Amino acid sequence: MPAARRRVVVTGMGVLAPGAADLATFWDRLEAGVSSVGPIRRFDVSGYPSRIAAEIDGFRDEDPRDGIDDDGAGRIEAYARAAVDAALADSALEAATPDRSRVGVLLAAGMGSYGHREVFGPSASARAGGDGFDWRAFFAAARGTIRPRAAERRTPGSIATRIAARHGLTGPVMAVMTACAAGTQALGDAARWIRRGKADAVVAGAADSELYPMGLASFCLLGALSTRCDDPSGASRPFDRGRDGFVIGEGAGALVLEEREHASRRGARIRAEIAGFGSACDAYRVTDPHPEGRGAVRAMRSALSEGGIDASRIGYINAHGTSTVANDRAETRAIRALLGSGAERVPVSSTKSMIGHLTVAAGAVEAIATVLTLERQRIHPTINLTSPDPECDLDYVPNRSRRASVEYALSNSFAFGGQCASLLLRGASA
Amino acid sequence: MVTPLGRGLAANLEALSSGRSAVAPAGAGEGPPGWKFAGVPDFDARPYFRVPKAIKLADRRTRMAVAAASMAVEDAGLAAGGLDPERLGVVVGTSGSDLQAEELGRAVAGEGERAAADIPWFADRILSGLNPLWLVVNLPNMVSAHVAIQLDAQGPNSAVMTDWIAGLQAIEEGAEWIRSGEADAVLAGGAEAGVLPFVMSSYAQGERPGAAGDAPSELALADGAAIFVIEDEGRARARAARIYGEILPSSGSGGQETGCLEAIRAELGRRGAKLLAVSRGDGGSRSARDDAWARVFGEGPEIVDYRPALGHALAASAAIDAGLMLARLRGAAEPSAVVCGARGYLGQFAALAFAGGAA
Amino acid sequence: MIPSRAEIEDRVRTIVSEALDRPAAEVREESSLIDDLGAESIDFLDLVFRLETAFGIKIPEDRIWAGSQDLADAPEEEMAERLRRLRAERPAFRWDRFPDGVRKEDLPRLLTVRTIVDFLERALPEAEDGHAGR
Repeated sequence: MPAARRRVVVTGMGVLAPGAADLATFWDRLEAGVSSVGPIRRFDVSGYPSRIAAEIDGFRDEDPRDGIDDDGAGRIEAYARAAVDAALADSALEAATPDRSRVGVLLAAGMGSYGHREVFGPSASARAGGDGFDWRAFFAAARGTIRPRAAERRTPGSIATRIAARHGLTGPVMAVMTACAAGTQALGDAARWIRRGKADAVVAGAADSELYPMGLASFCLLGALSTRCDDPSGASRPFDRGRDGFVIGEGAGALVLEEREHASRRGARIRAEIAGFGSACDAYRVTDPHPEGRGAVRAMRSALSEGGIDASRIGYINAHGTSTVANDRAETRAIRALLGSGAERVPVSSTKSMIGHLTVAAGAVEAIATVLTLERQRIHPTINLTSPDPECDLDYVPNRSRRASVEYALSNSFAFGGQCASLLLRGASA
Repeated sequence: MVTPLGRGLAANLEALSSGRSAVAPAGAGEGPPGWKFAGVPDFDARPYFRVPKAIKLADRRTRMAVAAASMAVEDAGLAAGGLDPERLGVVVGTSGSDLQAEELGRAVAGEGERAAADIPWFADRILSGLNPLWLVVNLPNMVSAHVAIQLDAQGPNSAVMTDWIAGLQAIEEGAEWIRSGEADAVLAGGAEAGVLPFVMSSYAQGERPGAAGDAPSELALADGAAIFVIEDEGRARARAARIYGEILPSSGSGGQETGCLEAIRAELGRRGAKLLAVSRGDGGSRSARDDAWARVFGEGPEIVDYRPALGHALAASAAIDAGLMLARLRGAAEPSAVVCGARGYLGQFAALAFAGGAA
Repeated sequence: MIPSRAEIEDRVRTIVSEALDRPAAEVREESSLIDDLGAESIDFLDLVFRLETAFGIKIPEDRIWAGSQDLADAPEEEMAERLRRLRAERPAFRWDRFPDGVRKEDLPRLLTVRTIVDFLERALPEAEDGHAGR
């Protein structure tokens, strides 16, 4: 006999974002339209065309033994740890002594878990003699530069595994990595697990920092970043005519997702419901988004379909809104295709306008912003929107936050490669 | 599948049955002395790429994945537009990116110390000397993206990266997408290029992985990819598809080895399926951890280990195992099953059961 | 030794053919990179890198692509005038493809193989002079 559909709710959240290490500060800054973008201070960026970012300042790793070393390795895991700790604390799940074999961990994490010397020491040595790869030199250099636990740091899976072990959680563990869609993907996958009974609760989210010499260089090489270095807080301007690329950010977001009855039984505070999730792929080109955003349309439609609601019920969309010409236009078209004639009535705003693009972590942190939107019934603005691109002609909530009555909201994340993820959230008080 | 023993299931089965092994000591210039590998030699990927322009952006792992996916679709009899793109998903398990040490090294050749100490110099070398496509080539999610582009799969799409269990988890997730109605078919499996410098140096450090108890296993890094067409059973039967086997839902908590295996045994019991063989995916070394398999399944099933023949293709190894194990269900006269396991570097565990044979 | 225009064209056609995966016969001087040869945005980056490597010079993107990116960012009021100037400077762009006028997003579609050859023909002697002057 099939069980009634299991519902998934958010019972805890933890955020580590540029400008904010707690939920209240995070929301206050977003609502006030405050930018967390500034000149990069982490390393000497004088050689880069893009020298601004939304950096996390003054992060103190609670676990210095396994923390960020002087070569830059371990940062992503440290961010993930902090966000998860905060989310679990916020949920009070551990205090309720759940069956830990039914609590899982599902995280997405970025590529940047290697240290700088660790990578370039051996690489440079291997090619010191010109053409041909000198294995002996490579390994000799590696022996001197490699940091502990290199094998684990090869995959984001080890972050999820170690965090699960840290909290004594013995349920399923998985890592996903659909690049800039991954943060939303992790939440959707965790909700899927709970719905099918694989777990009763999942700590889900994402962490990333590509703010290290090679990470920044790789984005600069693609010409993807804004070079508006003389005006850092104005550089991330999604949907605005003056946009010239995205601004890189870093951070982590974690949410405790829980089966609704499981949460009710223990008297948990329910922050929101994950009403639906959709995943789709443009299957078009390797980096260019589909001009009509077909993957995005499909992902959003799937999320609505799972939630059993019509597009007219959407009260807010937290856009992917990277501040690139291609994405912002494609996303606009996709939202229009989804909402039809009602498109102009639905407020759409981009958290990236203030905290930049957190890459793999973006979807998770932006989901947190969307939950806070539902809780506060206020919509944060897209800042720097002074002269809209004529092709971006929706209500992007320019520059000032506003009060709103929102029951259902969508949070979008799209990746290079065309992977699109969309999360449908429903307010708890609804 | 694309493995060090060949391309396609038939080639691999043939090689295995004639006792071949692709594991060989590293030749001069192929890797550090004393290591053993099982690499997939470069092959012409063009026949498998519907849009050949993308090949320049496809690293070895991606080429193998696309080739395997293309072969799977052909094998399933779906090559000529039998799939609705919007209902076709992709999920590939893989592990980290190798970063292309050769390319990075060329940009900063001989000046490792300077690259570390003089970041403006480093930036100039990289920004002027490295192919700008570097990130797009090395992002791990691109495996799934390329498969989607080449096979026109517009449905749900993901990349699983839970260390060495990722390939098996990808298959499980893909199957669940079909059960929940999100997709009618999914291209799922694992792909890995393991014979690469940073992979080697990462595993060289510290204790040998896979070591359990007092009989450490040797890690022979390998390349490989195995992609399956997973399809809704009703649809598959309606079009009279050849069915290799059924993926059993994985019940029991994924993180608990014993619980997971016991749940599998219970399901096999309910179906009256005879367990023919298991591949533990951990090198089969005898240790306390292995007792779970012996305890749960007893002495009945054959214990299979493909690592000596194929090496360890990290996240893809269990997916490759699954393909080879599924072949054992062919022609089984009674309801039968095989179980594939995977173990990660940090002890992560996954297992999937496949059922087949006459009903 | 600065290559002749014919030599430049030959090498450029090979590079474009490889980068865009097109048979050499399809790559003609007047071929539009996007409309005729299927270039996407990442291919422009790839082309510049290959050209830099092959010809040994640095190629600023705005110079080779004739500031088509700049134009794309120009305010609407300036577009008409700047397009007029561009047309005078670059008669070999595929203006014929846009009888109803060129919009901003069409600008990259004006670029052809000849765009690259013209640029190199000018830039290679300049680079040579730069070296000789040292």
